[in-house]
Amino acid sequence: MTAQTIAQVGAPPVIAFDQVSKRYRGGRLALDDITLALPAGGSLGLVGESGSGKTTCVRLALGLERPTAGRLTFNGAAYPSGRSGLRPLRRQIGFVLQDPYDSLDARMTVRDIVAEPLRIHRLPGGRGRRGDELVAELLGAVGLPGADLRSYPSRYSGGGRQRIAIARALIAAPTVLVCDEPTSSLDVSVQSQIINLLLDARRERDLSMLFVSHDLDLIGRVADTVAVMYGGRVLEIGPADLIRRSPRHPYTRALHEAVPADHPRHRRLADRNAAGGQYGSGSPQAPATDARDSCVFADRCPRAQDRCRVERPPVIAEDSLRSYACFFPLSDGLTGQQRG
Amino acid sequence: MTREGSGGSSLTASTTGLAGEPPRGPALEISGLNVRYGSVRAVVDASLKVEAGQVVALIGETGSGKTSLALGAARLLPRSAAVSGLVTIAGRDVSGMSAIEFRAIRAQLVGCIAQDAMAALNPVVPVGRQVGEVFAVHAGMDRRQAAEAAVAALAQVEIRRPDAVARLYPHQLSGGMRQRVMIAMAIALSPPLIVADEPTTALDVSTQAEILGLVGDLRARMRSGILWITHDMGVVAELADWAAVMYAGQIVETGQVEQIFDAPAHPYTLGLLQTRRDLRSGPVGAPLFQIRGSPPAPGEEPAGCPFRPRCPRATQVCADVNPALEPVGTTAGWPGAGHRAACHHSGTWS
Repeated sequence: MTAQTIAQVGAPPVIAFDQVSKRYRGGRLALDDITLALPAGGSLGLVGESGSGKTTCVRLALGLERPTAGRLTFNGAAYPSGRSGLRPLRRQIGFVLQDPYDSLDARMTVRDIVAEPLRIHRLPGGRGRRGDELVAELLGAVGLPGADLRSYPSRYSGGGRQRIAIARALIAAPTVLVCDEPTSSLDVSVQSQIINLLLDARRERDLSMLFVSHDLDLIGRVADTVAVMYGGRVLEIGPADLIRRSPRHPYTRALHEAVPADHPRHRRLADRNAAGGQYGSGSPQAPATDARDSCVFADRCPRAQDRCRVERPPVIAEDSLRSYACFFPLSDGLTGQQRG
Repeated sequence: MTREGSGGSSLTASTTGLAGEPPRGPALEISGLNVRYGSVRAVVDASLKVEAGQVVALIGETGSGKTSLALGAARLLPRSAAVSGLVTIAGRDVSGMSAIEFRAIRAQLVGCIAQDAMAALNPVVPVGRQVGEVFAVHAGMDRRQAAEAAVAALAQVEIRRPDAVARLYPHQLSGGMRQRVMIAMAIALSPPLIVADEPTTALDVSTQAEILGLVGDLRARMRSGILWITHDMGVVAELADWAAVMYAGQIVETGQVEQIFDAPAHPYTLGLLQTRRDLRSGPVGAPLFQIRGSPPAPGEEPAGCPFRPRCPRATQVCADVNPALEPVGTTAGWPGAGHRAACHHSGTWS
C-alpha cells in the first residue's frame, strides 16, 4: 500500500501496522485495514475522537491484543504470541496511560510502582537497595527529586502521579515510549510540564514515540508525523505541520474547526451565524455495521457525493510526504479560517 | 455587555412559580463569599455578578475553588462545607433562607448542568420521564402534560426525534446527547440562573462544538444568566461575556472577556493564555510554554500573594502583602470598566 511506502521512508520502522484489522467479539470492527509505521527514533501521533480506533492501536502496539487480520511487526518481526514470548518485546516499550488515578496501584508504594518493570523483567534493582537508588534517580529525572520512596500515590496530585508513571515507563531503559492521552485528565498548566518532560525524555534517551491524543493542537506539537483516525480507519497521514496548516481530508479540517477560538472576537462555534455547524450533525462513533464499500465519514461530510457512499476511497499518496483517503480532497486554499 | 434575550422566554415552560413577580435583579450576585472545609479555605472573600442573559466564565484549575464558589452560591454544597457571605439570585437573598425555604424554590431559581451527565442522570429511568419530572414536581403538571413538555424540552435542545429519544435510557445515548438532556432539564423551568460545571470537558471536540453552538443559541433566546465553570480558555473565548479567574480560592482577575484576552492584568491569566496560544501555534517538537511550579496544596496558605512562587514578576511586596482585587483603570485602549485584578504589578502588564 502506498501509505506504507510513505511512512517507511527513512529508518526502518520499530512498530509497523501493515493492513491491520481488529474485530472484537460481538463483531465490532475497531480497526479497518490500518497501515502505519513508527520509524526508529521518530514520533508518530494518532489523533481522533472516541471510537476512532486509536486506543485499539495502542493495545495492539503494547501486545495486549492481536490483530484479526494483517501483519503487526516490532523491529521487522511479527509480535510473538503468549506472555513469555512477549516479555522481551514489552521490556522495550515503556507506556504512559491516560488516567494517573487509575493506572497506579493505590496499595503500592511509589518505590514499588516505579521499580515494577524491573521486577517483571527480572532485571537488577527489582528489589533491594540498588533498586532504591535507581528509583530515586528516575524520580529526580521526572521532577520529583527527594520524593519519599515509601509514600503512596494518594499523596500526589494528578501531575505528580503522571510523573511517577513516566518514571516507571523509563526505568527498564525502553527504546519506545507509548503515550495514550497522557495529559487529558490534567490541568492546563500541568499539561505543559508533563509534555515537556516527555519531550525531554524522548530526546535524552533517543526514544521512538507513539503518541495518542484527541487534541489536534497537542499532537501537532509533539509528533513529527500525524495520522488522523476516524471510524477505525486512517483518513489522512502526513507531517504534523501539513496536517495542521493544510489538511486534505474534510474530516481533518472538521477537527480543526471544532477547536474553540483563540479570542472572543473570533468566536465561531457559539455563534452559528459565523461559520461551522456544517460538520455538526452525526455521530463520531465508528459505524455499527462495516462500511466496507463507502467512506466512513461520508454521512457527516459536506463534500460527500454519491461515489463516497458506494466506494471506499483508497489511501492515496499525494507526494512523498503525505497520503489521504478521500475522493474529493481539499486543496491548499481551503484550510479553514481560524488560524492567523 | 449583557445580551438581551428577544422578548422573554420562548421556551416550553412559562409556568414557573416566579412568573408575574416584579422585575428581578441580576441573575446572581455574590458578595464576600467564603467556603471552608474544616480548616481548609476553599473560597476566600469572593464577589461576583451574573447579569440576566449573560454568560460568566469562572476559570480555574483543580483546587482553585471554582466549583466550591459556584455550588456554594447555589447552596448545593454538603453540610460539611461552611459557607458565609451574601448571595442573591434574581434579587432574592438566598443566603438568608433556611434550607427548607430554599429547597422549596431552588428548582425555580437555579438550573444545573453537571460535567458527568451519566452520573447525574438516573440510569434506570427513561430520559423523557426524568425531564418530565421537573415539570410535574415544580410546575404542577399532570403526567401527560409533563410528558409532552418533556418532549418539547428535548426538541429545544435540538434532539432529533425527541419523542423516540424520550423513551431511551441514559446508557443508550451518546455523551453529547446525555449532555443535551441535562441542558433540557436545567432550562426546563426557565430559571434566572444556570450553573454549568465544565459540561463539555469530557466530550469529544466535535461534540463540544455542537454543545457550544446549542448554548450560544439558547443564550440568545433566554433571559437566564449562566455561570459556566471551565479551565479551557478556548471555551471562554467562544461563550463568555464576562470572566473571573480563580487561583488558590481567590478571584484574581475579573473583567469583560475582551479585556481579559486583550490585556490580561494578572500574570496567572496571562500564563493561561500564553499556554494555549503556544500550544496552538508553536513549532513541532519545541518545548511547550509552561507556568512553572504548582498551585499551593489545599490548606497551605503562604504569606503574601498565593501566585508568588510561580510568578516571573514577583518582588518583595508580593511576599509580604496579598494583593486585593482592584480596578485596572489605566489599561491602554480600555476604559477599564469593571476590569479588576489582584496583582501588585498589574499596571506593568499591558
